[in-house]
Amino acid sequence: VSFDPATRARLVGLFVAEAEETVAALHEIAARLRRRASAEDLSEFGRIAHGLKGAAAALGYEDLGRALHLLEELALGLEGAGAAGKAERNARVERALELLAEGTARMAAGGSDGFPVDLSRALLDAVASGAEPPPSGRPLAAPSARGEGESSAGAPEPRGDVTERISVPAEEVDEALRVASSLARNAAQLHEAIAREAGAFSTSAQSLAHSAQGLEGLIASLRLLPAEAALSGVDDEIADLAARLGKRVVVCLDGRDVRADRRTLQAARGMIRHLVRNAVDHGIEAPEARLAAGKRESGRLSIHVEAGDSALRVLVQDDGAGFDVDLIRRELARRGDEAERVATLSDEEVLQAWAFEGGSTRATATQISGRGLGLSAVSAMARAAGGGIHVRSSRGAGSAVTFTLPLEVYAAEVLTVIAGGRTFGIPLQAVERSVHLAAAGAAVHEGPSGRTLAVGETILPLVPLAEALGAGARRAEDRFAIVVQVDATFTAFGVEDIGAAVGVVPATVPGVAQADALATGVAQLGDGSPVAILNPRLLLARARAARAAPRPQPEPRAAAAPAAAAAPRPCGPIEVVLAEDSLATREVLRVLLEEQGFRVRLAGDGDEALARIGERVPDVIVSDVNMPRRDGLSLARELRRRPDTARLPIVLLTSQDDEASRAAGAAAGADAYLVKSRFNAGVLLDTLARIGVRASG
Amino acid sequence: VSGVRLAPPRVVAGDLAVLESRARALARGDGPAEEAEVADRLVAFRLGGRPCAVSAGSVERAVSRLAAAIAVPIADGTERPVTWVEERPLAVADLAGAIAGAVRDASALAGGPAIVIATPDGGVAVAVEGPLELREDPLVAVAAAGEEDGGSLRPRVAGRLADGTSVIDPMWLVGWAARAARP
Repeated sequence: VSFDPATRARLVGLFVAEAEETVAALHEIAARLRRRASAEDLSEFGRIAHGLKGAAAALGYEDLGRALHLLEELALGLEGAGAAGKAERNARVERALELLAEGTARMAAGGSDGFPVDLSRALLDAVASGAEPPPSGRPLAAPSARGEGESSAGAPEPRGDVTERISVPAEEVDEALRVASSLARNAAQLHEAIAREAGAFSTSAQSLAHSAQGLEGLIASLRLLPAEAALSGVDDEIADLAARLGKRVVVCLDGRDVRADRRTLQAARGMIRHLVRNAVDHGIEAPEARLAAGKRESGRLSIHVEAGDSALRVLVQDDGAGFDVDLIRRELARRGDEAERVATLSDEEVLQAWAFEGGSTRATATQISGRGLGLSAVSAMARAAGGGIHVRSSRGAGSAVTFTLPLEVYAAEVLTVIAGGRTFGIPLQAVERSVHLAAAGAAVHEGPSGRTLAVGETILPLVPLAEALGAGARRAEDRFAIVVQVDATFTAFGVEDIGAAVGVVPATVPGVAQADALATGVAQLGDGSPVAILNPRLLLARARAARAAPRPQPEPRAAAAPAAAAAPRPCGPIEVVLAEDSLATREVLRVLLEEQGFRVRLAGDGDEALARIGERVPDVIVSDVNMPRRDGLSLARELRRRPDTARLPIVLLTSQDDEASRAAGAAAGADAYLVKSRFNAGVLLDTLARIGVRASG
Repeated sequence: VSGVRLAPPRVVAGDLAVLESRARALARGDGPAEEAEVADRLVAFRLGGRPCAVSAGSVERAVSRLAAAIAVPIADGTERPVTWVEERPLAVADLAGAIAGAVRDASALAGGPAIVIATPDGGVAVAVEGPLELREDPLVAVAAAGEEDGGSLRPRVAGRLADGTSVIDPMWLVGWAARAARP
């Protein structure tokens, strides 16, 4: 099948994109296959490789198609192979995937129509039946413009100096690092013990400890690659994109020598490519437009990579048109139906929200930055990896996107906590803050749906960590709370004690402690004591489950004379008594609540609210604080005093955003305390959901 | 060596010491005449106070004193103990506790004996009662298929030694450990 050049170029671009995703997926499955060749994974591997083989065949990449076919067979042969055979096959599969990844990267960098010939041959060598794994240790290759589709002749390229370089599976380096870390820890303990027991300085023990630490550092450094691995070919790709779009771009790359973990650089490479595609496509203007705007004809695109104490920081900056913040603001307002809130945001906040929520202001996605991947994808990737993103832009002057990634993904920084008498580690990146509960005073409140902790303008559920984990009874009263956040959802966990923030090298235990489990790994602390590293996302899910579980009902808060019997509430939507003296605010809140399926009864102040409640006890009270006659605090205290409303959920709304007001609200018995300036439907509904009130629609 | 009748071997594949021992016996012409005389290398321990053993070929490590174990919480609300053997974290399955009808907490496992066996999902430290011993005894009785030993949990036995020691079927042990160690 022949295509016109433009169509062909588009198809090749799609093939490259698909190949990148496919190889990444195959890498993941291959890692699982190295641990255990399950029938499901083998089938999945075959299915995915088969799909890419079809795409290669469609574009006439015959050698690549043949190699993928052999790769499929190679992997399927894992089933039934002996231990030695499995190891040999796994090594060849890994080698083949490395070659596929490099070939795909070269195609992307050079825009070439065809898989590089030298890599095709190496790939066939790797996967051919009966062949030994080819010599490894290839150096990082420079992009080759020669592709399978262009030439099948030419002498094989040298594979590098095999006498000086070796290639080993990254997992083996990980294992070596784990063992070295254990050795270093034990050597340090031995040294300390000898010095303590003998009361004398022990040269040998100290030397052992230093050597072990050196070994640990050396093996850790083996995982590090220069940032060249992330930047290789990016300048060529930018030049190619610019040429196709009729633009001129001067590229400045800085930081090729910065060293970082292999996986960090793999992630960074994909993110950089998304950003430069967007910059060339959407940011940098055509030469005539630049000249008309008084700019130089060529746009400038700079990529700066640097390594901080714990993070790799990448800045992608251009001097193009910049983001259209007004357009983004309108789009955000339209999407969230929150025009008033969006209007109060600064330009920088709008850009951050845009990066978080994602989307495109372009009417149609272009081929180059299409596939729905852009700023939001980079933002999601950064956050998923434990990093972050920051966007700056000046209309007409350009934009700058900075993202960070953890520098060392093999190690984890955790905060150690004691719950149920046991030590657990919570990833530091998920810990928003810690709170000394005794010092928090009235910020801690026992509500009808459980304990809460007032933090900032919101009141968070406070769940004993031991209870959330099902880790048995607490051995002591929780003295601290750890606020854990995942994707802007916060929960406070009560813990008996807080230890130190430490770096650990976690190890997995299949089926028990692994990436998708409640404990993502286990590790030993410096003193050798074991610790389970908790998964913040699943921890929050467990907290919700613990919160929803039936719990012993507390005694009524006061044994006062019963109020006049109120009529039973009819079945149907959740009923709210809304107390607010401002007519406008009351109306806005009423509409908001009714739109969400609540049935609303109105009151102009606290006394009127008591009257409404006396008629029929609702499911929840939403009340302003400052009202004439009886204010919200007095209303809350009165409701808590009455047996029939002692456990009625109460949400206070106020414009006062200070600790004293929140403490007063909690002391009066409110379950949640919301600040009006930050109030919206989402916040209210989230709050109501947290305290167990959900609209039935 | 003509005239020597060699019983079907019960040696553990890859166990060079046993192979060498049998080869020397064969060379001397004093090889076992009856199948019942063929010795297997076994790791012996106790379960519910009763002597038990398992083929050494199915045991990766025999651990006389387990290091400190932790209870790792699982998303379903249960927990699984994990300990470290030679600096490697392993799931623990409390066989002794299961036999006694009371699986122990992770904290109670430390210091006790265990045998590490390979399961399809990785190694598992199977907690047993000590002392651990290495024996090289012949089976005198081979259990019928499905014969099980007593106790709350009924391990499948592969045979018995002359002193009554139950030799546990390693396949059963692997299957049970894989199920017990992981959710």
